[in-house]
Amino acid sequence: MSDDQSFMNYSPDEFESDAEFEYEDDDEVVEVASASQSDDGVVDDDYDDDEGDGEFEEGDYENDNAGDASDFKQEDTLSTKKDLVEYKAHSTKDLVAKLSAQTKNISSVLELTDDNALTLLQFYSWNSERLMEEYMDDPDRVKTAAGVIVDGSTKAGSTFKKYNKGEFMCFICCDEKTQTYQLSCGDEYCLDCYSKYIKDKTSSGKVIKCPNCDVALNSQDLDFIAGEGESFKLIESSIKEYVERHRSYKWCPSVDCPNVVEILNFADIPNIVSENHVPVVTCNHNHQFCVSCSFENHTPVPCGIAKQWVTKCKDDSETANWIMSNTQQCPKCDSSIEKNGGCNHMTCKKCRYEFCWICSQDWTSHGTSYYQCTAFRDNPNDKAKNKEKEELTAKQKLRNLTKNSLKKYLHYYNLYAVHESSTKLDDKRCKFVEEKVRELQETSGISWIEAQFLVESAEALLKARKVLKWSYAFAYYCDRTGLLDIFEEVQAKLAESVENLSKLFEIEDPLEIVRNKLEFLNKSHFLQERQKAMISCTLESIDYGCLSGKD
Amino acid sequence: MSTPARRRLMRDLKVDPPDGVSASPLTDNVMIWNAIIIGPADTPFEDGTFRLSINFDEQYPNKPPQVKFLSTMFHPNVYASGELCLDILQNRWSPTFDVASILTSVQSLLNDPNISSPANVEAANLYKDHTSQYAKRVRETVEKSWADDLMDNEDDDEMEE
Ligand SMILES: [Zn+2]
Ligand SMILES: [Zn+2]
Ligand SMILES: [Zn+2]
Ligand SMILES: [Zn+2]
Ligand SMILES: [Zn+2]
Ligand SMILES: [Zn+2]
Repeated sequence: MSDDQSFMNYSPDEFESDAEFEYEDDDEVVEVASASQSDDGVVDDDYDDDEGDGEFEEGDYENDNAGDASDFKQEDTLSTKKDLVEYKAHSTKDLVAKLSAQTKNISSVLELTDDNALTLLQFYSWNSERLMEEYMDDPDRVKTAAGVIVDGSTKAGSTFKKYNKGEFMCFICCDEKTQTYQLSCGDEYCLDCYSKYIKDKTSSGKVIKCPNCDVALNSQDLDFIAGEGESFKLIESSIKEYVERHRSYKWCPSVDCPNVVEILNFADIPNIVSENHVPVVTCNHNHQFCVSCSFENHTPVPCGIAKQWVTKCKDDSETANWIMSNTQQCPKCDSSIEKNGGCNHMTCKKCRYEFCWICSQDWTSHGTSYYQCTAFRDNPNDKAKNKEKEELTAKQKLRNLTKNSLKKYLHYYNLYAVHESSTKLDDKRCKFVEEKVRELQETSGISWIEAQFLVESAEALLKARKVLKWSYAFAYYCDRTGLLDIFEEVQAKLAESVENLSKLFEIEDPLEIVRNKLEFLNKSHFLQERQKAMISCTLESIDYGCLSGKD
Repeated sequence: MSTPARRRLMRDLKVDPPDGVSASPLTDNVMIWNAIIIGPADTPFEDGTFRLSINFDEQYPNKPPQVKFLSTMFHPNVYASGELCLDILQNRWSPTFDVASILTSVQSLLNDPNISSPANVEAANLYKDHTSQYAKRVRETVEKSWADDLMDNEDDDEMEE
């Protein structure tokens, strides 16, 4: 059995006594982050950024795919404030080690073999306390129920048997087979049937029992019958069970991300949410998500509104699907244009016409200071017309109202969706540019440190675009009075900065990129300032009661 | 053509059915069986002749067959469609189960319903709180099962003519 496949050898020293879920190891990442706010420095002025300990150690990620997390610096901030999530980020590997430690603990306390302890824990869904309680009470009953063979039983262990053709008829497949496996209960089936049986059940994370009785198959049985690593697969499925059992554990919601976050102040989450803070955490692969919604970081939108928006978008997705398309026709010459970066300032390759991807208007009409098209305006002409036609029946009025609210929704959804797909394109583009510069490093001797500005700029861009994207969902649920004008101005400025930085990432030549280092840094810094302004503006709007939450 | 599923079903056919149940495949398709369960004595289901269909596929016995009541049932774990909610036909299935063990389990389910996951809420509520009304509703289905039997026999007679 190879080392990394062996459950009981899994980083055995990493966890000591965590049957009670204590966390003593210092080299693990403890992170405290509030919303947005700590990320962006809006409300965290009262504590010093430099005091944060627990920088990610690169060694922590050896086994994580590609080790991409170690490329990023975490902004660690520690505080005792009640509105912050305290958490630890775990990889699947960490959890396997944790379960392994828990198993070792049980085997030593209850004086069992590791294998038997593992079976009992799986049977008890990793609830050590209940297992120990019931075991102290009546060990034989617990063992029998879990299918662990009671010590001193006269029955022999499991055996692999070989037969000549015609000597053994398997009860399951009704065929004559030459290779069989027999558990201590005496039930015997052919290897093929047994293997199929086990593979069907590995994903359950639960104890696998003899097809005919309650005797449990242990790791050796599983690995022998179904191949090496099968027992390990069962352990991995156990993690699902474990995370489900512990409500303070949350899977990272990113597609295919195997990481888990453990919330240390789970009881505080409802308070954090009710104060309109977003409980944001960062997984080991650097994905930010809200632990209350199990959804991407939706700062600056409060959780309730974010959920409302996501549900609405799901319901209305068919109506609005067309927006997500990545090709459009040039408004002037009709040649088709594919969007290849996140920037919404488009230039037609054929006729050189410059236009805005979002509203298809001439780019210059947006002015130089900010983008008009981000602001939704009720058309004053529509209103005037409605006034003239007061003889409209109630039904027609209602229809117009829905039409207008659909228009409003489509307006904001359009903006939201455009920035969502732009985020993906930005992400692609940033990775592409980083790759190019990495190539350049190899040939020209530019140091990795010198090229860090690109990584930082890319991260700043992606974060800011996400804030911008969510600010449209926020605007949708705002009353169209009071602060909204200021809000839209701030929003438009953020949009402008986002597009400016995004545009920089379209530079193809790596040397040119490096030459523009200062430009990247300036634009990123500027963008971060505007992002902060956006977030404080939304918080103010909430304080002023502008967030109605109505469609 | 001999597949593991068909081999198993041929063996299931040779096994003597337990008391109160009978089952046999269609003459032209060994993958579809018709079965009858006699309601157990000393229960409201007593002497009912409840008919079921069992549909196997090539995954049998690694996967359970689909079991469905054809007779109208009034039981906490039987849906209006006749499908039933029984753990051994879902997550607790084992490839060592056969037709006889399935029917035995269904038979014992009749008088020993699982109230925690009702498929028929009305039946579950009556079973819990109004035993006599529950028994009355069950007896109606028993009588219906006899009538269905009678009609079937008449059909058969006609066909023989
Ligand atoms: Zn077999
Ligand atoms: Zn057995
Ligand atoms: Zn993740
Ligand atoms: Zn949330
Ligand atoms: Zn053009
Ligand atoms: Zn525009």
